[in-house]
Formats: sequence, structure tokens, C-alpha cells
Amino acid sequence: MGQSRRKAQPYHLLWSVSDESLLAAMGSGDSEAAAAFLRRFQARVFGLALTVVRDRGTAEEVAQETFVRAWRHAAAYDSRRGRVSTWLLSITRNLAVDRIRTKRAQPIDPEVLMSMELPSTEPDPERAGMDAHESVRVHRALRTLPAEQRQALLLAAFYGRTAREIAELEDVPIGTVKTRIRTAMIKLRSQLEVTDDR
Amino acid sequence: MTDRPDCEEIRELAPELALGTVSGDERAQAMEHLAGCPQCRAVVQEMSDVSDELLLAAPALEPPVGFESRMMERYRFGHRKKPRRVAMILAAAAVLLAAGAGGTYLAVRSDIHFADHYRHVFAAAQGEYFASSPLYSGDRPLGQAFAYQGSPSWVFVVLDGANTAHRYNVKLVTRNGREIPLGTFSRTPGTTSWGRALPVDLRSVWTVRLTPDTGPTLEAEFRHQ
Repeated sequence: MGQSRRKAQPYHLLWSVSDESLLAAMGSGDSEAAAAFLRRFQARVFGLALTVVRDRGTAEEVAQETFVRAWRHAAAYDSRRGRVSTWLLSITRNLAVDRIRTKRAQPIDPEVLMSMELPSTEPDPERAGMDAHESVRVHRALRTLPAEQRQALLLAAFYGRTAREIAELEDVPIGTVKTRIRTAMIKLRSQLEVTDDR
Repeated sequence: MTDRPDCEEIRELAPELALGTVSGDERAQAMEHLAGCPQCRAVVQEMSDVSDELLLAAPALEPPVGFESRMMERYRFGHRKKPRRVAMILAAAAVLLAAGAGGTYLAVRSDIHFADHYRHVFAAAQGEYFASSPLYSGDRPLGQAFAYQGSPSWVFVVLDGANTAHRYNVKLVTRNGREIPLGTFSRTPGTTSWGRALPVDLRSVWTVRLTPDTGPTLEAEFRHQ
């Protein structure tokens, strides 16, 4: 992968290492870094996979494949294109959507997703890479959307449903669905920018 | 959408492009437009950022007991030493050029001409590099995939005689794990190769996957700096 093999670090020190450094070390074959990376992100990856596929066995398969891809492609990760956490979750989401499309599973009502317990506002130090503040911020922004916009957006974002599929599901014109998704995305962009303190 | 979507159409479509819910031809046409339009690319990128952030809304849930140990076992197995798969064709020419700068010009003159020739080839299609990677079925190499980063970028696959399937479905897997259908081809006694222009930048491609009508999948991995 073009990176020198790093000397293994004491396990406890790895929690303070940035997501990017951990990913790079994992990609170069550092098993201590791989273990730390796994512990930092596994709950988020598994949680997203289970949200989409709704079956623990399938969710574990998706989570495993996510981490395999992460370490295989760690060297190609480009921090200019997004944070490690969102990069990893987008891999999870795509793999999970592929699974439900193959199995033709019906997605759950996205309102169920919204009613799930919000993460603690106190970040868990063992998951520093998946800052709980970020989840709370996104949940709050989603709650400001009208229900029909949120519904359409979550069906597309989490379950990979196309505008046509959502239109059939909701029994509304496809143009209405496209407008709902577009309006919701623009509102969210504005909301997340306003509160973005990164 | 018309054959050649304009900026307004692309920006209308930007949220769905970012969410990955646009399929087939429409996506390929949009990608073609985006390749030459930095303004629209910026709009889609903004929407992609929102789409990525949305995923943080999913709850964090502990995986089943033993998940970590199973993963670490796979990790250690996967990091056993194995030969590097991707060979950059120009690397050899670059090394020879460096040697030429050291005073052995005569010895490497033909190689300098070789590299110069490639510079002309790249200039013809805004090219940046060529790459090649073996097509593996498991650990067995059964062909070769060649790729070019330029305008357009393209991929060309060559199968060896050990492949017995007749029809192959070709897909790209991008760095984000997204699968993009590239097409299908039938293998006849006189045909062992197939190529196509890429709807995305070669740098975003990690794997070229061939799924035959019978037999195991073939994969070529591309990793780029």
C-alpha cells in the first residue's frame, strides 16, 4: 500500500489517534490499529447495517464486508472527499442496500428510525471517531422537516428507494416525490451548515 | 431527460445523484455531463455531503458477541504477504528516465523515446496514466484488465483460455462500494476481449468485476495514488 509498516503502539494510546491515522496504519498491516479502528466504529457500522437490513445475521455480514473494504482500500481514502466516519458509513449503506435489493425485503417505516433513541449527547470516548454530537445534530435537523419530506428522504437515503418506488409506495406523483427529496436536502444542507462547528 | 442533459436538469437531479438512487442510462448521462462541468460537480458534491451526514442518524448498536475476534482473524489472514497486483506501466519508463539523468543517456535512449511516445499518446486524450491488473478468480489469475485515465477513461479486459463461460456481466465497484453496471459481452471462439468507456473517473474505481453466466466471478483491483 505504499506506506511503511508502523511499529505497533500500546493499545490504550490508539484511542487518541485520529481516524485518518488509524485508517492508514490499519491499511499498512498494523493489527493493533485495526483492532482500535474496529472498536471505534463497529457499533455505528453495525447499527446502520441493522437499520437497513433488519436481520442481525445479515447485518453482521454487511458490517464484516464494510471493514474488509475499509482495510483493503485504506490507502485510497482521500480526506478531501469527506471524513472517515461518513466514508465508512456510505460503504455500509451501499452494501446494505445491495442486500435488501437482492432479497426484495420491504423497508421499515422511516418514522421508526426517527423514533429510535437518540445517542447520548455526551460523546463516548471509545467512539471518538463517531462523535455522538454529530448524530444528535443530524437528528435535530431531520426533525425540523415536514413528515412527508422526511419520509421520502429517509426512504431514499437509508433504503436506496428510487423516486418512482417511493411514489408507488406513497401513492403520489413521482414529481411530488422528487420535489420533496430536493426540498428536504436543501433544507438539511442549510441546517447542517448553520450548526456546523467543525 | 434528453440525450445531453443541461446544467439545469443536472442540478434538479443532484439530490438523487447524491443519494445514489438514479439508475442506468440517466446516471451515465449525468456522469458524462459532470465530467466536463465543475460547477455542477460542486452542486452534486454539496448534496453528497448532506447525504453522507444523514447516515449518522442511524443508531449505534453493539454487534453480536465474537464480532471483533472474527474480524481480526480475517484481518490477519488478509494481511499475509502477497504479490502486489497493480502494475503501473509507466513506472518502468520513469525509472529508466531517472537513470538517464544520471549520465547513462546512451544506454536508455530508446527508453526515453518510448516515454516520449507515451507523452504524445497522453496529450491526445488528456490522459494521465495507464494501469493494468490481473483478473483473479479467487487466487487464480484468469486474464488481465487494462485501464486508462483520460477523456474518456476506459477499461479493456482480456480473458485467457481457461475461461469457459459464454456471457459476462461487467460492473465497476467504486471507492464508496457503489456498483456501476458497465455492460455485458458474449465470448465467442474468436473473441476473448471487451472494452468500454467509463462513466466515472478511473481514480474512483477500485474493482472491475466480471460475473459470468456460469462459474466464479473474476475481479481486477485498481488502487491509485
